[in-house]
Amino acid sequence: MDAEGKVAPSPADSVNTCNESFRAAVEQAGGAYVIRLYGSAGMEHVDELRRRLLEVPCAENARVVLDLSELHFVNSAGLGAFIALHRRCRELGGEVALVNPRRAVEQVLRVTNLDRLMPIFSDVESALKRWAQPPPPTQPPSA
Amino acid sequence: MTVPPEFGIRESDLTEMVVPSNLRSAKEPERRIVRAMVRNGYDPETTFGLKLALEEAMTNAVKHGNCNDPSKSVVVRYYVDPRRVVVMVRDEGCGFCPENVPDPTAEENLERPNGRGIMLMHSYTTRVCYNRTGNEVWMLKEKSPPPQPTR
Repeated sequence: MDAEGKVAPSPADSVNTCNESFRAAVEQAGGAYVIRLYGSAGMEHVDELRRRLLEVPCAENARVVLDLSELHFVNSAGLGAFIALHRRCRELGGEVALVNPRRAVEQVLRVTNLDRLMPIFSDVESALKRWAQPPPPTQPPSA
Repeated sequence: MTVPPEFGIRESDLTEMVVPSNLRSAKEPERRIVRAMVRNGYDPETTFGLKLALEEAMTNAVKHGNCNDPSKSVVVRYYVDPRRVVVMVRDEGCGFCPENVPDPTAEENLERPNGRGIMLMHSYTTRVCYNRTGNEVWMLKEKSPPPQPTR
């Protein structure tokens, strides 16, 4: 982003504006739900995206990984669906992580500051590994 | 509202489409503009940015401007040449005041599910203008200059 908040184009290695289909696949791995999103979460598919994310059973402490490596496009309504999932999980002590977004999608996440709400990992294993680690010990207050 | 003078084109340059007010029909102008951008040599990242800004404008027109009323229409006017893309989207609503939309990137608004569309339109285009009513938005996307060679 430049000083005016405009997004500067980056090398054209990661955008497919022609792929307009959308698909989501859900599986369980390492005690978490992994949702892989494929294609374009544009305005014609956002209801489908919302519906698929709502189907994920966010039980207590549920951890959900959104694998974005094959997602070519997302708009603000799609981001809203991610946020709704994040809020639903967090209310029950769970968490949502984002994995391997393409450069253009990652730029959208960063320009909207959503990377501060949901951490971004390079791959599913890294996200699962981070959750497998015990939380850091709390420091006793210094005298 | 006529085309803003700083956008550098004439009224007669614009192509107009009128589409029914629903998200499926709203895709057709997007497809045409994206195809025209590809024909005019825009790189995929620039095309992604314009497509995103246009989706936000169309979604606002259908959902907020026309209140999801299928009997209403959305007017799209556009122009594409190798240097710039101009798009206008107008709905039949009573408009809004863009200044009153809270900053969606502020800490206290991060968890709000809505309200990012206008910010994205500004971030991914060169210039955004509204008519006085607020039911017509004009967007200009200029092609970025090629990267300068490094020494």
